[in-house]
Amino acid sequence: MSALLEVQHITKVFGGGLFSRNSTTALEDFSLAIASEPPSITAVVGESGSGKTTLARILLGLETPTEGQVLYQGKDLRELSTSEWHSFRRDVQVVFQDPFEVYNPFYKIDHVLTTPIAKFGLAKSQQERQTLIEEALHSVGLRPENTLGRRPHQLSGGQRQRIMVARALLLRPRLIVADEPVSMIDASLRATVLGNLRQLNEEFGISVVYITHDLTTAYQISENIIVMYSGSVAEAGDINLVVKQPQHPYTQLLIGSVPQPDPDRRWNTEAMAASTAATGGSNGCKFFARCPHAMSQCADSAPPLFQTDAHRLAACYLHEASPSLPAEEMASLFVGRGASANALS
Amino acid sequence: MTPQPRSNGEAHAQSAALQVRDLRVHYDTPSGVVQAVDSVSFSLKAGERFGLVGESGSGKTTLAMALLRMIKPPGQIESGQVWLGGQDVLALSGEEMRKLRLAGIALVAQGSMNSLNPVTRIRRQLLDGMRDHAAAGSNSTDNGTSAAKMSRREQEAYVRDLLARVGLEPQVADMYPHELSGGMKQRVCIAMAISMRPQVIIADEPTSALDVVVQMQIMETLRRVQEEVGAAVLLVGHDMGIMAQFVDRVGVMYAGKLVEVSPVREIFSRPLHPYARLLIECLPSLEVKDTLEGIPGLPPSLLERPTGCLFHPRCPHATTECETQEQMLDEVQPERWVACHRLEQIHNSPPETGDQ
Repeated sequence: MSALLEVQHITKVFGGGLFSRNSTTALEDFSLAIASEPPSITAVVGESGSGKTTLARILLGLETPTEGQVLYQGKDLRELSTSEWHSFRRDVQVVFQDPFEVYNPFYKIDHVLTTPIAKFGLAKSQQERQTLIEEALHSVGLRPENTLGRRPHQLSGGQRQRIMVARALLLRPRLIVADEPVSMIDASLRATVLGNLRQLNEEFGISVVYITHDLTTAYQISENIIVMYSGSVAEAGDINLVVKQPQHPYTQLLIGSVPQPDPDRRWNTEAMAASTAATGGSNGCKFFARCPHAMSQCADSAPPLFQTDAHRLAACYLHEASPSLPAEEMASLFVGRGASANALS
Repeated sequence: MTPQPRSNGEAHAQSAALQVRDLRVHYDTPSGVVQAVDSVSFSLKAGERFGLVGESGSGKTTLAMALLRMIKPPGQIESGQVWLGGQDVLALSGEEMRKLRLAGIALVAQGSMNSLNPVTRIRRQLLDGMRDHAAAGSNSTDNGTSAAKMSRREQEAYVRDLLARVGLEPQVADMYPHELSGGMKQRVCIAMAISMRPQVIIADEPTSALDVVVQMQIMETLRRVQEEVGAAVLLVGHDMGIMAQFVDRVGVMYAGKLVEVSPVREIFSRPLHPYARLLIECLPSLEVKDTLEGIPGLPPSLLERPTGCLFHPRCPHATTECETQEQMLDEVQPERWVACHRLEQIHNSPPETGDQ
């Protein structure tokens, strides 16, 4: 069975053209497969510059990788026929970060909902169109009478983002790539938008790739997590394991820096010393310069993924004793929904 | 600061770095008057860290800007008092206010890393404020840092010291903003804010665009320099996690009003106002997976504000009294100020008191 969407050994290099000496490797030898069944929520977490948005754009077909392949139902994106491309466009939807910029301020918000219906010929009559729109709005908890006919500036950021989720839902996609969907929304409204995403996953069987820098929300909605550092995977697997017992020093730093809403649980300021951003060596582990556990071999060669648990991988020589796993098999270790819930209980 | 004899503000001037009383700010828009800040009173003790939280549109940024007298038309400070040390901020002339900014009360703005001048080196941007203050008035020597009177070498040492305080290398002085990362730019902004040793620093969502690791570094840097300089900090934001890590006291704003002011430990362990409670309960945690539920309803439009308690349309405990009667902030326990009619009923019914 071929995966719904798969990236194999992709590398993306920006710049470095004929007249430029500087090039940036945004993503390096990254592989991930998203199965069509069962529907999953996978979080991709990393800081700015970790390559997570590049990954999103490649998954959406908005960017072509410098090396490697993107496969939609087993077929390279570059080789899709017009009709296959059409179904790819429908199956894979996106929710972008900024709910303020995706709207054209001159149009009423209805426009973002009617456009995909027209484009994909989803409705045969005005009435059918209206029903579709109202259903989609209801599923994200919005009342059509309070939403339709308004202009973008009359709605809150949370409402706008939920309309974006409703828009994605209209097309009944099989995968939604959500790139930082709640980072620009108030904390009090975040929960609602994330709840919507989880609901789509559970009720409509839509898989979600949730790209974020926020570990807390990732933990709340995902089963599996991929922690990215500087274009490579640092740690990946069952989110319960990764969050509760992080194995990679970078994941440990990341989790230690999360501001807990509890004055008695201070964030881990010991990590401060190790965390001055540095441009690491070229061949070795990218986290080398910031790593408190750096060893000589870390500078020489980049660590492969070591399988530390049944459902987790860490790219760190501290776990050298564990068997290593080829990068393209990463997703095979991911847990399904039921398993994730029981993992730590 | 030279102590100035004042009639009614003097008592507060001794104990508080900043004292705000009954401050009201509105915006006169074509669709009506928006009451963005409504009779807000609070004070900052010297060296204290105070957090102001609320949803977007709750008036927290307007309040912060009003303290700096940086409200632009159609906004207007309607009434109230703001005392900075012994000075009545709202009574100052425009020129006096200009001198007070940076020297007495400084701002680290939201996304301030984008407010650096892209074509000027960091050194010049660090010195500009001080130069301006020296030029603005002949008697502004209180802080002993007037750049105009400094020799080149002194200026250099001064810039170096400022950068070191915020954890930056001296060579940063020769760089342009685009050569720095977001976190480094925010450090430069903090260095600017402390350059004239103000009594109060207003930090408006200083880390909203930064990664968690950088966010922690910036907040810890701000804490360290604030303690060194002895300034009070007013941290404006909506991230309760950062509030819990950084501030001593929290003020919760809703629709332009303060609804609860409490010490940080107390408010996180037992929020009293129903809004504060929902705000804290809806926070996702790294401990347990919860059902994801936000606060039901939407913040009210400030054009058509509800009658009575502004939170009553969204409040699970609202009664008819809440719909008609406004409730002022009241000190219900030592150091804890809450504006709620139903406080006793809510917190005396055992199944609802949510101590964990």
